[in-house]
Amino acid sequence: MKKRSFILLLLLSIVLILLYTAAGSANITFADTFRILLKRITSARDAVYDTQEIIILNIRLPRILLAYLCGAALALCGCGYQSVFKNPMADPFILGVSSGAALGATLSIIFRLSGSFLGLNMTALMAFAGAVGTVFMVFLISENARSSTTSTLLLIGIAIGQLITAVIAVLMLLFKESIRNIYFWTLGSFASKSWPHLYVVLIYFTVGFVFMMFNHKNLDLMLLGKKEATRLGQDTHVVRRNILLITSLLAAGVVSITGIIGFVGLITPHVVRLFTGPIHKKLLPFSVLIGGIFLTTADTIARSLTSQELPVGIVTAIFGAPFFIYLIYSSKRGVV
Amino acid sequence: MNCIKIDHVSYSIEHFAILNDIHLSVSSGDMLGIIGPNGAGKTTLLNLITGFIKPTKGKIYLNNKDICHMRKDEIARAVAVVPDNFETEFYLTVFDIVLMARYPHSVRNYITANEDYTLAEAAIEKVGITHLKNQHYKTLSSGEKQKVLLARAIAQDSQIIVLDEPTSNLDVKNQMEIMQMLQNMHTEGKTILAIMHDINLAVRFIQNFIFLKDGNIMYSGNIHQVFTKDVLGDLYDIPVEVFEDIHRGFLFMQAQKSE
Repeated sequence: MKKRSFILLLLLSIVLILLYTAAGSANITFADTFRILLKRITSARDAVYDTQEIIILNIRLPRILLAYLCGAALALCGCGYQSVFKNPMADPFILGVSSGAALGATLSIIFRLSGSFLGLNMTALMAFAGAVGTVFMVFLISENARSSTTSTLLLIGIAIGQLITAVIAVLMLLFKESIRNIYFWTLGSFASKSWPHLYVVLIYFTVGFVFMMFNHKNLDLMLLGKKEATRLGQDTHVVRRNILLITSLLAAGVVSITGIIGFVGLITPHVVRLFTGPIHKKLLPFSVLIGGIFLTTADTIARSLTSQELPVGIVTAIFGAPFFIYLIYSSKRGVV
Repeated sequence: MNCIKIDHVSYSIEHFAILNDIHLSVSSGDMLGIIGPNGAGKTTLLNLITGFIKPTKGKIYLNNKDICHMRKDEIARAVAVVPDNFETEFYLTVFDIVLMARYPHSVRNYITANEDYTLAEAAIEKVGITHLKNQHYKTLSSGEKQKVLLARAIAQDSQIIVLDEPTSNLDVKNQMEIMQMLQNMHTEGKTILAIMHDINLAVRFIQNFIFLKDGNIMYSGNIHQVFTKDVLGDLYDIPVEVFEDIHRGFLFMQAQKSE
């Protein structure tokens, strides 16, 4: 039953990706979209493409696949965080990944830093450095604290996150001309993203997914809490650190390219758990598919709903927040 | 053969001694009751034996191996724990929880072996909760939860089973059922260490005891050596009387009102 559901979701993902590729301001029919994609698969690499083909192959397709992959990656991070913190409400940005990335991006925008690496611009690179730097700082302070518990880590993450948010606010006040750019970056977007971005996220995602799947039993044990996990043979300190580091790096990789996209990592595992239960061997692959579908759908709405493209973070929040509130209400009735 | 050897172990937190120079040997197949008032250090002793905390002084050996040099999964394969209670936010089924007892045997394997599923099923059947197999653990009663945790310990398939007040939240029927299951496990050759609050229940099923008080082993011995008016009065700091049910041969203790 679960295998059949997984295959159905996988097929749904492919159908939606094709449908969303046909949607957009340039009027290209579904049949044309399908023909173009087929031509790309069957023709030689040096085939000549017309404008419609370039829109589909170089603009829409990489963007949609990137959105799918980012949704999948954020959902994966959510599963990891919620297991480690033994809390179904934990979020991949809880340890300061988003604020760290925002600080890096802010510095890059304010000082107009230029340069690129592996097809990523300076803002993405600085955001990645900021996110990774923040996560390591949170870990370093937590590990050296007198009592290094999950709560310590969480509290230090929140404190550092708040501190960085305050620093960003000061920078925005000092450099008012950059406020608009910084603000839009923090809302997240897949606009003007192309194949190199997709390849980079694909590498992050693959490493993260393989790591998480091979740790599915460890993730299960962490749901029981530190004491019970130890009693069932887990070196909780090492496992917790490794899972948080890998998921934080994955979240940092995504956020540095797209900006901050909330709710996907928080809600997806929560919704999927309703159908699969909390055992990670099922939860992880289903969360990846649902996270991907959620974010590609949100991105398609973001670029099709109004004449001006909406930041995708706004769309995930507009759809995510009411749904999240619904889940909280349901949990009182014992559904979640 | 010594299954557990606690060699002059002390444990303290910031110079506050919780356990002082505990020296104890438990042979394979023994069943031992650990009794003591609140704050005596019973649960700390359990946490030391399971490797959750490390002794401040002294050594603990499981099957002649220093616990400090054992991996956590190796310890879990040697010792299973039945806690007094365990709650989870997540909707794990009874089967999910019992199957996790097999993880110390295969945590690095991506695939869960068929044998693990079979052993988990068998453990659930053994404690008589097959009808609860697919129910969510968090929706069960205290007695049912305790049986699930016992099934988990059985599925863990370790030689030593340590229980932390396994009957503390249960009604009389469930208390008797759990203790009977413990006795059966002992008969099958398992080494059992049970921290017990209800001393009258403990003496009906367990023959050998250690009495802990203020972090020290105050008394140890068989039921006839330690279950006396003077020893129990000293342990709990209240006057007690010990009676014997002459028809069934059971001893029981009754606390007396202080004058």
